[in-house]
Amino acid sequence: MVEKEFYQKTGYEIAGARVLLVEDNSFNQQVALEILESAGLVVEIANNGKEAVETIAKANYEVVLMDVQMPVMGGYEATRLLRADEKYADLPIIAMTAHAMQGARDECLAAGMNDYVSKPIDQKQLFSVLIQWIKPGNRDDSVAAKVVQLKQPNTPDPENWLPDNLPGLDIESGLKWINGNKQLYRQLLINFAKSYVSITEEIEDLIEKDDLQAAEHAAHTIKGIAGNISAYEIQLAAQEIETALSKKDSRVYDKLLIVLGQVLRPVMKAINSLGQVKEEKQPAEDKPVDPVQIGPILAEMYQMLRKGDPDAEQCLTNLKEIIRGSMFVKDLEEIETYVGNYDFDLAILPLQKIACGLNISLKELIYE
Amino acid sequence: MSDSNGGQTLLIADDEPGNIKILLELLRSEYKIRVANNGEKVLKIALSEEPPDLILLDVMMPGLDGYEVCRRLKSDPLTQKIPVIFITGKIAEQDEIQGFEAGAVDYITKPFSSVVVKARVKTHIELKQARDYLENRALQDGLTGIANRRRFNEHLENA
Repeated sequence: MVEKEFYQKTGYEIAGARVLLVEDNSFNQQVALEILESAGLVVEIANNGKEAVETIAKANYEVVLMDVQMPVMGGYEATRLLRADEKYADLPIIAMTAHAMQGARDECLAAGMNDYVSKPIDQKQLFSVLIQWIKPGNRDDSVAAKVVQLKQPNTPDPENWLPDNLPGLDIESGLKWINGNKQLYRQLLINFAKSYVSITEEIEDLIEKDDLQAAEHAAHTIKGIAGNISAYEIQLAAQEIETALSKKDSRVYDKLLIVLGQVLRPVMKAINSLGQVKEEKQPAEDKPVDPVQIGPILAEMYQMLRKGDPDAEQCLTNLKEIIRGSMFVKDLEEIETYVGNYDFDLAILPLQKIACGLNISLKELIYE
Repeated sequence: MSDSNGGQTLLIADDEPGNIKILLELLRSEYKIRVANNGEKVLKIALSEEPPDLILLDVMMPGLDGYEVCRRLKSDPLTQKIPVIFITGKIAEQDEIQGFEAGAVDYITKPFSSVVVKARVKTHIELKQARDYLENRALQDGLTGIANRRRFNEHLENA
């Protein structure tokens, strides 16, 4: 498949390249670092624009990944400073920006950056941008070889255990961004819960103190981080607060903060439960399923998935009724996740697994 | 298959499920909707027995990006007549030009207004219908409705 080829390609072409990651938020540092190192890049970190300028003066980097909003010195200013020096005229600087996309790109380019990637960081997007800007140089081949080994998934370990579902979190896509690393994802979740448990109150305080800029920055931060762990509801709620704050639309502050609190609470609770949960095998569920009843529904669902028909979501609800309590619950959960992401082609596999388990031939049912 | 939403089918393609959801809710009452979260699926659906009448295509997708998908659609006689509207956060003029060069009929930038999306979709669906109608008229015998000689020649050329 395309994706596989893509990863292989990226692995070899850019492995070993030296990257400077400029990012103030330790959480975002962790995510970006993991992604970059998984591709075999040699990463160093600067915590703000000023540090970046100083670090770059001391060592050579093939590419700089630069956050835009940072304390002390932001990404635009650091870039302008670097570009003012002829030595760095050709240094590829790539912005990482969580700003609503409109205009962000122009601003990055105007500041002298070469390209931008959106935050939360999407691995594939980041790699395709990196490939574009890192010259295929004569780097050590052994690094590239090591990458491929590095990329093997970690062996399962109860400490890394993650449930298949957590309320308010899209685990599937959260994992996708960090190369399926469950241990890291779990750590990210726990850090998130620890650091931001009272973020709603913090933003409220800042608004009361009329420090709207700090409040906006806090909302901006949580938006980016929620995106990283695929807590989409939180991301959206934070984004609305950020927008309201930037427009100084004070009428909606209270309402939006309540919304943020509401979407945060279940997620925090779920994450906190992670610490205590041990892997417990659920008792094998074995309610029998009637192939005659389920056959036509499976076949209908199969066709919808192939056609890209969004009514598959409706069909899934019917399927759930029948499958609940049976041995196919896991397969169904898998279908649910894929369908939720509109990854219809991937949803076909577990669907076929269910059909196969019941000795149902989907093709026959369709052509009957 | 039952079809309650009139005859026109709209394919929404975006790698971000949230964007699909928004567009889906916006447009599903008026059109029959198909969805795809990657470029390959778009091509698959476009080449299926029920091709869409219009494609709303996200530019930035992993794997095959929107431009590439559009170019492939436009280079295949089976799919080249399906109009493509790009939906994108990219707004530099250069990007817009690239989109039109790839064969798109229109461009909608994110964040979009629902009124604009609905209006543009409606316009292009109607244009497509008008084009299809004229084409049918040109390729059928006026009296009997049977394919005419022009259609025959065209079929031969494409075969």
